[in-house]
Amino acid sequence: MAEASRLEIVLRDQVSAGFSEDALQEIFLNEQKRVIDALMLAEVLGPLLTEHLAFATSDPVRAHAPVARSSPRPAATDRPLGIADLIEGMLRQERATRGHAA
Amino acid sequence: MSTAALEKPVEKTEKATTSTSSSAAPAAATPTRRTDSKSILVGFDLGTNKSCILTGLPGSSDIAVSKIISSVVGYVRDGIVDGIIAGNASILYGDDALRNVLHVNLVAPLDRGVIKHRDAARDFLQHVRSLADPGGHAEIRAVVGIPANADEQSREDIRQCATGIFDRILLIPEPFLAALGYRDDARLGQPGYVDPVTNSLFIDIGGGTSDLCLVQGYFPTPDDQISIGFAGDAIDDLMRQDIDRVYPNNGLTHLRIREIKENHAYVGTIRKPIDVKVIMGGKAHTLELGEVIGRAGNELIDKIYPALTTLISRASSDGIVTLLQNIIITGGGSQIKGIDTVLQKKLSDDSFESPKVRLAGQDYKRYVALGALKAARAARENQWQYLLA
Repeated sequence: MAEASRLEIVLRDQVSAGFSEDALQEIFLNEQKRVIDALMLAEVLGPLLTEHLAFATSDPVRAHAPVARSSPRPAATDRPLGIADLIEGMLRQERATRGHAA
Repeated sequence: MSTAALEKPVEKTEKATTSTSSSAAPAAATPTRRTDSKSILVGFDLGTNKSCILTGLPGSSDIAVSKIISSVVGYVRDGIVDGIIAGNASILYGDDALRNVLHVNLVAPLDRGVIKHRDAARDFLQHVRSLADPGGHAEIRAVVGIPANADEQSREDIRQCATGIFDRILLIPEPFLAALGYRDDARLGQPGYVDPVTNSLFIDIGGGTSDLCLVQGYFPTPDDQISIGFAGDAIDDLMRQDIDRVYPNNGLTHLRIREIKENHAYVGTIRKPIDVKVIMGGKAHTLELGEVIGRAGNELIDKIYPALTTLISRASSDGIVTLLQNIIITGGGSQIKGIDTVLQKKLSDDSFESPKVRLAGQDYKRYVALGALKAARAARENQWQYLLA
């Protein structure tokens, strides 16, 4: 509402100063762009905020430092891994890292 | 004696798989020397201040050598009269070097967990080799602990320094090795025994780095590990700054400050007085260091705690409650009084579900090397890296 009131004042001043079709068009275009930007921001932020709030209220243990993983967690297996399997996992990671670096 | 020898049998782990047949290793990469001799497996915790070496033979669960060595090399100064240094040695290692501090130039090969002085590192590794294999003819296969998230350059530095000294090598992050070493293999599968390799969080506080690692049944990814360049040495530095401010010209050496820390370090509410007797200018003085020691110790908590909560947030949600019951502190930092209770209280105060922080126990100096020796015994033939001189 405040935004609309300010726009009305600007338009009234424009009219009283001598109506200009081009100036009015420019104002409308500018305002249209601002509205589109605001809508896009809301579209991006809305789901993120919803997810964050749901996360914080449903799981207090994890809500303190929700830090995303940058690498996928290896798939769990049904049987306990032997030490050689664990080493194999390490070597696989190293190969992947070298591959990315190359 | 330059080292403290510890004799303790290790539990039987996996069957050693170090047969002489090399299935996947490229033939061209096979070293030509020592192939007709016996192999010795080495579990090696290459620490900034203290190193631990354990050795054993393939196919055996016995430990042949168990030593903890100060990570320092002393180069005997020119002009030292014959007989002052035992055997007129030109290089001393570990506590021998520290005892002869007046006659040697001391060099610490590592800084913050990574090699800083290559020549000294090579000399130190050569000494380790001589401890593992006094005859000098065996093939040495070493699993070496490295800081969590050590970069490729740090790894390459170790490989280069070890080339020509060890024959095959595997570099594995220290906190993961600590979990392997801490695992009681005899109790695996017993009701009520929680395998630390299945679901735990290890905090390994050494001299140069504090390493935190999630261990959840697979080899930790880079996201599961955090290494902080703040540990025992940084506490020494903070104490030094504070002591210099309060007691100028105190004349305390770095080694003396470390000794004071090792005897009195604590975290939590400031404790006063902690009176420490020191010799300054040949005269005995008593310094009240309660606040100095407490401030430095609490700085460590301030560094570790955010990393701890970050790793908890990254852990698999399936076992998070069990994980919170298995937070284990090892390394020299585990000897700081109150560190377990302070971390546990902070987690509780921040509403983490029934956290339990434990100390690894009296064998804290050996767990990384013990895990490394277990890894050496279990490593497949094609998992070793060859070091070609």
